[in-house]
Amino acid sequence: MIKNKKVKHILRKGIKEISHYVFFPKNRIGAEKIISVYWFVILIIIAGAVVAMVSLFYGSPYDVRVTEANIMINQVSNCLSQSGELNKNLFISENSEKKFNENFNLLEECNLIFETKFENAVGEYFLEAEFYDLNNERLFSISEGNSNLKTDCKIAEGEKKYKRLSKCVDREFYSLDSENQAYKINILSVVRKTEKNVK
Amino acid sequence: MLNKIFNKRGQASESMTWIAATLIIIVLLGISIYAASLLSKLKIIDYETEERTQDIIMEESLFSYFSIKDSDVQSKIFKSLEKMNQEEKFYEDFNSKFQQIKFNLEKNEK
Amino acid sequence: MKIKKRGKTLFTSSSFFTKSERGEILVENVLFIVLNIIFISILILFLFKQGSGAALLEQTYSKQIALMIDSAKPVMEIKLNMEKAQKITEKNKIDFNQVVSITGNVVNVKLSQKTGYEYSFFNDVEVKAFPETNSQNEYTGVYIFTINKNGQ
Repeated sequence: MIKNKKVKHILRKGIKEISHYVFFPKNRIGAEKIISVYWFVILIIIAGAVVAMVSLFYGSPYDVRVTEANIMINQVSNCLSQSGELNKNLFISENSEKKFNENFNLLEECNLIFETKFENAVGEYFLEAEFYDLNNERLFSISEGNSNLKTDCKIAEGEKKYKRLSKCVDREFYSLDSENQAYKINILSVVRKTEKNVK
Repeated sequence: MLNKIFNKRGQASESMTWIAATLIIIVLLGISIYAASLLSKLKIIDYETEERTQDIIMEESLFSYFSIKDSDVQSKIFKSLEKMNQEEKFYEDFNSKFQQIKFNLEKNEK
Repeated sequence: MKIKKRGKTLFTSSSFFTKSERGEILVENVLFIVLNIIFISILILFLFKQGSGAALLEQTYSKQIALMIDSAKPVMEIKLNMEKAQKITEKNKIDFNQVVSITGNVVNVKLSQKTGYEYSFFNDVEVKAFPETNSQNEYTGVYIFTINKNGQ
């Protein structure tokens, strides 16, 4: 017989709890159901992340504007100068004086076409050729296309890079006229085409 | 002993494990998505880094250099071309092309 | 012989009637693993399908052709291997003849009935594109581009 009141109290409480434990046994079924739902949530998160990665990578188009600008410069340089000699149509003789031809049309002479049938095409190209002497003094310049694109080149030189800006490429080379006088020619080519090259 | 039966610490630690695992998965997926966005920037086709066999602009300059008769003008242009080469403005090897054109011209003269 | 309380745990029925330690393969676990494998394989298939998709190929081909025409000069003939496009057109039941069309200075590459990708070029030349055929009149997967001066 247990006489100690404290021990009696503890035993009574224990028996109540044990009987409760026997009739309402705790098992892991409830926990497992929650875990399986959780597992599906994890799978959905992973699937969503994979779809996001795929759309991020394959959704962005290839940007070929730099290549296009370089090809344009090559074509124009070939048209302005061949084997180190400037195109004769660049010069006119006025009063027995040799001058640069102001009416030299870059598009016609170099077989270029800047217009397209696309609806939103608002001048996708800009082309400029500048002629300098060997003391870096500018003598002459010709340009074709959308001149507003030239400002994009100055913005692009800054620290922050803006994706939707036009791509600018400028290159220089030397050439001679028929009198063996040397000129430095700087060609700037700007390609906009952001709809087809930037997401 | 009764405390051991009704100890709920095991249950709590299980959910903590899941929370930690979820956070790790989300962080890893975030890194993967960022990596995918970085990879998409590789889609910018860079003309300069592609291997080129010819640089028309550089060759035009070299042809005009060899056509100049005035030696002062020639040296001025050569200095400028060397400077451009150092600034990596050419897409082809300047020195080898220079030597090649020089060799061909000397061969033709003979 | 009196068995001590401590020792009792050692000498239970399990000592004399050893239970087999082989675990049973639960159907639930197998199903769980199989479902996970199916999920991962679906994801991987989705990835590969996106990579070789018609939309991406249309874009790459149209830009490649436009840049090729930009670099060309009259009179030139250029052959481009488009076998990948040929395989996709066979699946989508499109005639290989209709894949590339050039109108003015715009290149259009179409690999399925509904889609198509256009890209313009700046070279003012006349371009004609047609697929190459062998002696048996079958497409070889190569497209021929002839470049002439405009107006010729």
